[in-house]
Amino acid sequence: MSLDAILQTFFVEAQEHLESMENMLLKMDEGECDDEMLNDIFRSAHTIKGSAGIFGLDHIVNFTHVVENVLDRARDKEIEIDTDLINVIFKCRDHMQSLVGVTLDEFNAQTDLQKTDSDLLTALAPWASTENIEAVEQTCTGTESQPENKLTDDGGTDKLWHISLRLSTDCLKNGMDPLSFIKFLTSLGEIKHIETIIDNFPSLDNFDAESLYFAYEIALQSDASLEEIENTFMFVQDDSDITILPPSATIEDYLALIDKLPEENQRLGDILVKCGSLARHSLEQALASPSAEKTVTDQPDESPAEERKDSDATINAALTKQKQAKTQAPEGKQIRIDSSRLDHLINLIGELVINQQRIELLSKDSKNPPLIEAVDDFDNFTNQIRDAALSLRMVPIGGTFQRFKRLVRDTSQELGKEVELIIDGADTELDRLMVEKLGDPLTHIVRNAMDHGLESTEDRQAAGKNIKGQLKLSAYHEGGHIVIAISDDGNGINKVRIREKAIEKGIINNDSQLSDNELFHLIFHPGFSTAETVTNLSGRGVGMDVVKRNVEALQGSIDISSKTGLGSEFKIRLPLTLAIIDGFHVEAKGTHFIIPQATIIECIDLSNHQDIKGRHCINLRGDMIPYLNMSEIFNLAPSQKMKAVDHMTRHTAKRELVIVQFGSDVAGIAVDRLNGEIQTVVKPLGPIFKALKGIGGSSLLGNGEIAFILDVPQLIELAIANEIANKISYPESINSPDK
Amino acid sequence: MVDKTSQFLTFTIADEHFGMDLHQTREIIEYAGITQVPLMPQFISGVINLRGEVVPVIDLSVRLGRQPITIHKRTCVIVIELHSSEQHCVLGLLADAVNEVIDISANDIEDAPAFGAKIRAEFIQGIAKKDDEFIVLLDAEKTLSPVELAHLVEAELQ
Repeated sequence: MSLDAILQTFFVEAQEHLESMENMLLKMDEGECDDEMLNDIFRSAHTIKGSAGIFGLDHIVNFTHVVENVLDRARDKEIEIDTDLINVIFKCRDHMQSLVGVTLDEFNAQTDLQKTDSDLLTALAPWASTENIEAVEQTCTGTESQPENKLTDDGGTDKLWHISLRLSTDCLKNGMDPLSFIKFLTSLGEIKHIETIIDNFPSLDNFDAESLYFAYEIALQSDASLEEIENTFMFVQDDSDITILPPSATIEDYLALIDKLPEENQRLGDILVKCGSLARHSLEQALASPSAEKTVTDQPDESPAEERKDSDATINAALTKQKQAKTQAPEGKQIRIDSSRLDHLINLIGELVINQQRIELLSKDSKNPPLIEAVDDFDNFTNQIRDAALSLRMVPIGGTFQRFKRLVRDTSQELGKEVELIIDGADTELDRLMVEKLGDPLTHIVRNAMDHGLESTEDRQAAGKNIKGQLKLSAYHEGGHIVIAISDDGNGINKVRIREKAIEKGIINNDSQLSDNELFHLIFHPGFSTAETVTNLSGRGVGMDVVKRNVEALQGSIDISSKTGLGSEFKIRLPLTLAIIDGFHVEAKGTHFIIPQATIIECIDLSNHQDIKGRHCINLRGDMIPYLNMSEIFNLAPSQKMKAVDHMTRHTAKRELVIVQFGSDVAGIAVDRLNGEIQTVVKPLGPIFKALKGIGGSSLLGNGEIAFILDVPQLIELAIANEIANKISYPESINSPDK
Repeated sequence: MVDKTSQFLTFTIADEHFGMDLHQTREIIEYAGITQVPLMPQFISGVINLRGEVVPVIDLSVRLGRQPITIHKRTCVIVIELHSSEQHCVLGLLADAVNEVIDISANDIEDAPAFGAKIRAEFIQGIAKKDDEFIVLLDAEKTLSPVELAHLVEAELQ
């Protein structure tokens, strides 16, 4: 492992610990508080501090140390846990998160971080004992962190561990300095003796300044647990030979160690004696009669090792536990994979799907039945592989929802409203890529719901509602889509207010007729905000337009429903995955398009239907369906090649209409040809084409040609925009500056 | 100026010679049709399928303020890779012919004239002279900055 990879492990783990701290704090905030939870929070902080110490990230160590001490005092019931303390710890946790994100140099350069640092330390002061703040350097010793051991051990501080370190020669190359481990050990206890073994030192000719040739034998006096000591070497244990003998180790254990190590036995024995780990006479006895090793241990012995033989059951238990954990690890149910490797796999499978389609085309041309059959089987398996691979990338949305607990808590405090957050469908899985990009839009909606949606406590009381406002986050599947709904039981969206505001801002005309849905969608207009007062949280009119853009970027759509006095609901509808979609292949003027299958209701022959009064609308079984012409909207001219083909095959001007649905709207898309269902791999078109509306990406067809994947909601919007722009009767719309 | 030699790929568009830092070029492929992208400004010829990757192709001639390139049998696509922008970006450029890779010493590169080249001065890295012909060395990062191209596309669509 390189240093970067190790640091990465540190970041991931620190992140996990910070998350678990947050969850525990939230639970404590809700009134559940037991010692186990405090222990968990304490352990998280302690582990972060410990790992940070190994990397010399002193800014994290120094800050976390104080936090840890406060937590320790709380654990020892020296101080009481109240809302104020929880609030401060919350802030400290957040600060730790920012600290983990920066290097020591960056920290020293950023004054605002340093300010938060000192502010929080001051805020913690009432809970911390004074010596703790001053004596940051006197980092927590084993006594603090493992009081359980204190109870079981009568001897107290004379617990002498022996650590034999044979680090890998590449240790330095990997960026791990053995000194930092030794330094860290001093935070666990006192190093009684250290013996450096330089036997491996090569001749000067072979000397490589980047290799490590030293080995160490260390006697550590500490009350720390085996696990804690082992954790010190967490980042090097894979390629190093590390033996930790607990104070309870028998002489047999020491003999085994002596045998294992490459150095000469007598010398090693001397070293052990010097370390104080072994008494001289018991060593001599043991070495003198190697054949009688077994019996040696049975003899009564004054050596400290012997005395401690059965003194500490806890440690032996820990040792067994550790061994169990180790044997279990390889057969564990979960593995951690770098997400980029997963993405690579999915890309490869995407290529496989394309190739499979090409083979399918070729096999059909060959008119060779056994081949076609074989290709069909192949097709079947390819689809299974595709689905299995995609499922690897699915994560439950619960993690994202969980984060909102904190947001809701903080926001409700800030606003002085009582809010209850209900989470439903946390197990619903969706593409990891989507989960990452959903955070911001969800945050905006949740904040808006709390700020504008839910009424103040007094208003709720007056309206006869439960004074505690309800906010619900739910996720579920609906017809090939995933729906994430955010609903509140507040006052609902004030339609009159939106209308007035929109007219005032020149977004709509005085006499515009708008459906409720259209009216609600006005809030996604850039620069639109109806909040009477601009609060810290929302009301600046930025946000909702960003929400819409983000959701659309994920090929999703947003629906709003609202009832005055009862509340509002925002529904975000998302495709199951972004990487591979089931689509319908159509052609217009020789350009290939793919319409996402999930949006299609049916296909009809347009030549059988008459336009209603010269408008782009048809009557379909009694419903008036507006439609758009693909070649018009994209201004498509037949390509040269197409002309030639047309000339040869004499295409009749048959027109097809694909009826699509998005949200609650239905519309038609007129195309020249339907080519049937196809599985396509989405290839993003890249930053240059970002402004192109109506096309969400591209895809390769079996024959190598490129098709464009339609973004139906955007396409309809584009059609509406074109229509408005073409009609002189809406001069305001043309004048109104869009951006 | 330090005497440093760099390698440039030279190519021709409508009898004009251009050069581009060899490090930025990835490969040269034959022009085998292109898929037009709807509603795009003229300087974007379309997209091609480069071994499974969808790559935008730029008509450099239009980008430099000249007439669109005429497609003929020997038209080729120079695939370049830009790294300096926030994400790496692969683009194709249409050229009438690709000539050679030449070494040009930094001393032989002159600054772009303030005017007269009929190309925006910032696009030009310098002018080199080879066999009595001037070669305009283009600064690919500036000429083909994805951010700027995206802005131009956005302007065209409004």
